[in-house]
Amino acid sequence: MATPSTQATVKLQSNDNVVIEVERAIAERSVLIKNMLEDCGEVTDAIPISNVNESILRKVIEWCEHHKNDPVAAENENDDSRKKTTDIDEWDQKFMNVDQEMLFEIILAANFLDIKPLLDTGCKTVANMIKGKSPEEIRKLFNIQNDFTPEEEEQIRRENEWAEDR
Amino acid sequence: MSSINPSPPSRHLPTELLELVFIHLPDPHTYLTLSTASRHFHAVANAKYTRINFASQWFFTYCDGIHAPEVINWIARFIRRHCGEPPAICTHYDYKLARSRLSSKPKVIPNIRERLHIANLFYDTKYGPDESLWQFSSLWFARRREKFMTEILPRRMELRGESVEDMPPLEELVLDLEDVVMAWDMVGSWQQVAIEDRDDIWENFTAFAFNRWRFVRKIHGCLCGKEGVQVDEKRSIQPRPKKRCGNASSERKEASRTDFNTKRMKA
Repeated sequence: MATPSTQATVKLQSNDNVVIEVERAIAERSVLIKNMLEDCGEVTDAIPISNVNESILRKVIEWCEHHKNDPVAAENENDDSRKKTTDIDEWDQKFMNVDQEMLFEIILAANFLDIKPLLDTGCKTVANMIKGKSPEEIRKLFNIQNDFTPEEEEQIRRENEWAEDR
Repeated sequence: MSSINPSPPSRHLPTELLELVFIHLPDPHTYLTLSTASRHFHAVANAKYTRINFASQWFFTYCDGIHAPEVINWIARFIRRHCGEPPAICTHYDYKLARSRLSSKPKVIPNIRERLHIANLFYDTKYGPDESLWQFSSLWFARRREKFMTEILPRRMELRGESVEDMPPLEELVLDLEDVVMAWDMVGSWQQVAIEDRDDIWENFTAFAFNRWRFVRKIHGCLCGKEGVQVDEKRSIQPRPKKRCGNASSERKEASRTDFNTKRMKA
């Protein structure tokens, strides 16, 4: 297991070269950083977080700070640690109330840094945004093109007909 | 459409994250709508992994309330009837066939079949599998089921040299998107009942929800959730056993019974 740590803080460097110093316990919400620190022992240099820019990194650290005392989920994913789709606490809801661009960036950063609860919260937020949207609105949200041919679209429509809300 | 868009836009999620979004969707209709956004989304939505995990997450989230165990129990019985003994002709089969034509993916066999293997697990003794689903469901009250589970089933299993411990728990059921659609409808039906009326129907919630669902979906024949399902002899891979729902005469009988019940519900 981890050696008893004497190091109180770690430095994280965003991809736009801003170094942020955070408590080790907070940084360790990220499984990526936690493993890195366990493997390397003392790290005095800034850890480069190559996929994340400063504003997103600060946002993620803000989340980690608020959740630093949460119990860490067991490594093997069993059902006990499983969360309901509807479980998003109020603070997280407010936290996720950002523009869509940033929301997607936070999800990508959480994925890269391996912060599962943040990733889940982000995906739930996106999932809830989709409810009630038309396919065209969904495409706008995800910034994607409709690449179906009209025939395929018709076929999918027929395929889904049985499940339509009545 | 504009020309090809080679650089992934900033809001492009990698497939594994898109799967997570699908899994956390609040209802099956949103799921299906999201699947129509693009080819890539459609492929992700149709992947077995996404469907099963969505179903599992959905049931976990929305079906542990007061009425939910009934919904799951009912679905388990439905699955027993349709997928229990091979070969089964049901929505799972038909729907996947339709899908396989579109995506040219290998046909997926109903995933539930391999998990539930104890014959007649969910049938009442008096009304065996040959009886119509109408009778079968309306006569299945909580008390009856309890009696069945505690008295009849162990005795029967003893005769066959099985023990209750061999029986897979309901939680082990692998449910799919179709089951979520059905459960969503059933829970919705229940929510339409005025709270003060619920006590009266409570005991028979399952039958109520099922009949309501059947009424809404106008099901015939195979009770598969699709209107006017045609059971095609040639399409089934193996010959169907005579006593199952695929039997032509019993199907007609069931269809007429459904009509009768539909009329009755309208009245």
